[in-house]
Amino acid sequence: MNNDNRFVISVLVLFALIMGAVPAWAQDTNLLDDCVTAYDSTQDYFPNKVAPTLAENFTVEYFNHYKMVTVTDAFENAEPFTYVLVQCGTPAPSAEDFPADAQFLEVPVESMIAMSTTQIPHLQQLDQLDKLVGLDSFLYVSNAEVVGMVERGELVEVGFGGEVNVELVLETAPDVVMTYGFNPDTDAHPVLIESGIFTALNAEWRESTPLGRAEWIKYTSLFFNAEAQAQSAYDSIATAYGEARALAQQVAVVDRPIVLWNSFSTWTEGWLIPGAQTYVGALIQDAGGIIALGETAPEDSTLLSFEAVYADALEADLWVINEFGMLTLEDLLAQDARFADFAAVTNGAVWNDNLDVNANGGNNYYELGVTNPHLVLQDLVAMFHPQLLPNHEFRFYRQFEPLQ
Amino acid sequence: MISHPPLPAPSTRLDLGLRPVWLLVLLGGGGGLFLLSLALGSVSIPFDQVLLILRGGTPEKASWLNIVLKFRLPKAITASLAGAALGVSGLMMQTFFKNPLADPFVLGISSGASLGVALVVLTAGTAGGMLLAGFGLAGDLLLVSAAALGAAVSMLLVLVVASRIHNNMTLLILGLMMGYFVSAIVSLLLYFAIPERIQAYLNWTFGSFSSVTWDQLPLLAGGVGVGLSLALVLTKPLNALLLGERYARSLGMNIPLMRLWIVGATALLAGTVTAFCGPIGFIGIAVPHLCRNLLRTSDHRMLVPASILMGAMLALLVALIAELPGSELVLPLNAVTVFIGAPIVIFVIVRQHHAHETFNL
Repeated sequence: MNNDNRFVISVLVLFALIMGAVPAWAQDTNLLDDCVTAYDSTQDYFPNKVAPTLAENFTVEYFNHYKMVTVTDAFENAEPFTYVLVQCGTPAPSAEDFPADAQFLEVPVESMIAMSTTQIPHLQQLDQLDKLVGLDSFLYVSNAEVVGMVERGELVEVGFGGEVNVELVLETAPDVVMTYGFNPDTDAHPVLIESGIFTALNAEWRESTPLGRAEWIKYTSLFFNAEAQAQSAYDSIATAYGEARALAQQVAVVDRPIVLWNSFSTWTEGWLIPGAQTYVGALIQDAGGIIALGETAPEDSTLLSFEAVYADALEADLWVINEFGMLTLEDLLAQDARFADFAAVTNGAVWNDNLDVNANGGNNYYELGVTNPHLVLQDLVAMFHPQLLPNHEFRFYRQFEPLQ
Repeated sequence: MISHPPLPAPSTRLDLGLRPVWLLVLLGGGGGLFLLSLALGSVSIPFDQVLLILRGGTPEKASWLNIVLKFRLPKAITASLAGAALGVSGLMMQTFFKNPLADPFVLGISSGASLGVALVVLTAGTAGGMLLAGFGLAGDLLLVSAAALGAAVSMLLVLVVASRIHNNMTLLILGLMMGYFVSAIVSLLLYFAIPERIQAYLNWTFGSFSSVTWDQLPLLAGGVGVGLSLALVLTKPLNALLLGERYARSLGMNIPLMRLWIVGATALLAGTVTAFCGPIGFIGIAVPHLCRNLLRTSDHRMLVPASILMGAMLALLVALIAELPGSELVLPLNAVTVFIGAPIVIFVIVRQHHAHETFNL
């Protein structure tokens, strides 16, 4: 070979070597499906990272080949839960460096049982629905794809709370069960953890801001290495939410409607009025509404008697009753004839949150609405200020027909 | 010859002494509590405004008119009727079974009502619930009808059994067993229900005087009125039963018929109250003891009217305290009945000994 050919060949060989070596030392996305084959302790295996901005109940710390996740305030007086998520194919860090009850798991996981329907929209938006292998109950699912999976027999039903069917979970052998905590005496997670199943607690329901709650999609993504998808999903939710909020905040305070929230019957303990600093209170105010009787519950929610609400909230402009199973004003008045004295009933401004309910009473508000608060906010803005969103199609709220 | 002074002619009428005065006192107390429960509540309304409203005038704030007339007045009337009904039916059961621990629900009436309510509440929203709604009953009326139906079925069963079985102990045990059986069915329904429905059912079991509106009051008043009238008519047989069945028969009474009437009246009273207010415990046990010890008698001619008045008073007092005037918090009735009633009964029974005399303990 002459010198020119040798030069070209050596450049080509060098190029090939470089190209061959690139995957080994410059990973630019998280590994969604693969395990590491040749571990390099200097490599950062998680180039896509997330961090909570508004969510307060979880934190994540990244190290080159593992993530340390802490969930605080999972339920009343809960101790923090620590999860060490290790990239599969890399050695697990020493257990001594972590709290005694830290749980270790290899990620990305390949199968998950979800004990709350709020995890279904997460999985769908992260494009990981194929990893779902079980639910706590089939009755209340609204998501069409998951309903299809149920009908095709691809999922197991494991029961909820302390009655969870541990044998079935063990037989299904999921990589992770994601559940929520409420009361350790009646929850599923102590039972599951004791049986040796990796159980991740989800504390999104304890967040007090709508976007903080939505941000838990990032938490779910940690188990699948799907941080990039989570960031993009959350960003579009936050943007849409911000736009709807800005639209509503243009309305002057004097023009904002007084909104009566919830209802009362022998079936409820009292009339629950949301406080301004609760999840619901934030939604109402972001949508440009004024919470009726909001002065009695400035921060947290309060339970009032029917009498107290009747005394001060008869003139509320809008009433959102949030009652299970009510479809018409006649249903409402059958519950208690005294509701007829409310101005909202006379003006036909009564709404209920059961527009998207499945055959068993499962309300998509608690599935899609919680994880995509911008959709709820858009509904509320259209309810409180119809002139701002004239052709809005409601997703979660139905307006009652006026009385005949 | 030793002659004895003539013995006084034996009295043919049990001496009531000054006891009727007590009834006036109870009536006055009941009236006072009634007015108080109109004046106090979670919303503060000045007392003169309340009196103005009762006289038909217009108060300073329009919503006060509705609060007193639509909320507090029906609630006070409901509490009075319910308390009277439970007090009297408790008295009848204690006499019937000669047992100081008997209460109106010892025959399983409230369990039957609970089953009716459980079937409605725990299947609501499902296909079964939609079926029930298709019968034209909705909301609160459905709840009341279900409870009434459950209580009525229990009552029928009890009456059928009572007409066949003449041994009171057997009847008591059968009533208890039926109560347990029905409660087990309710437990099963609860086990498979979703948490919101369980919470709703649980709230019903706390008991409430607030859910009866003016259009339902005639039904409640009618049922209770019939039951109370029956009880007043049955005072003589009740007295006789206390002295023993043989003595009663010697007075020419038809014992099986009397038993049916007593059981029927109790079931009507207890069932009606449970249907409209939920299961209210403790008033049925406490009131007869309070009356016996206050009036120091076992004569039902005094005890029945006294139980009516005392029952109404106790229920009004409990309702007032549960409302926690001045705070927005509201306590469940069944907790407050025990907190108020148990100390009173303990105090009264330890101080006096009429339970001992009445029941030969």
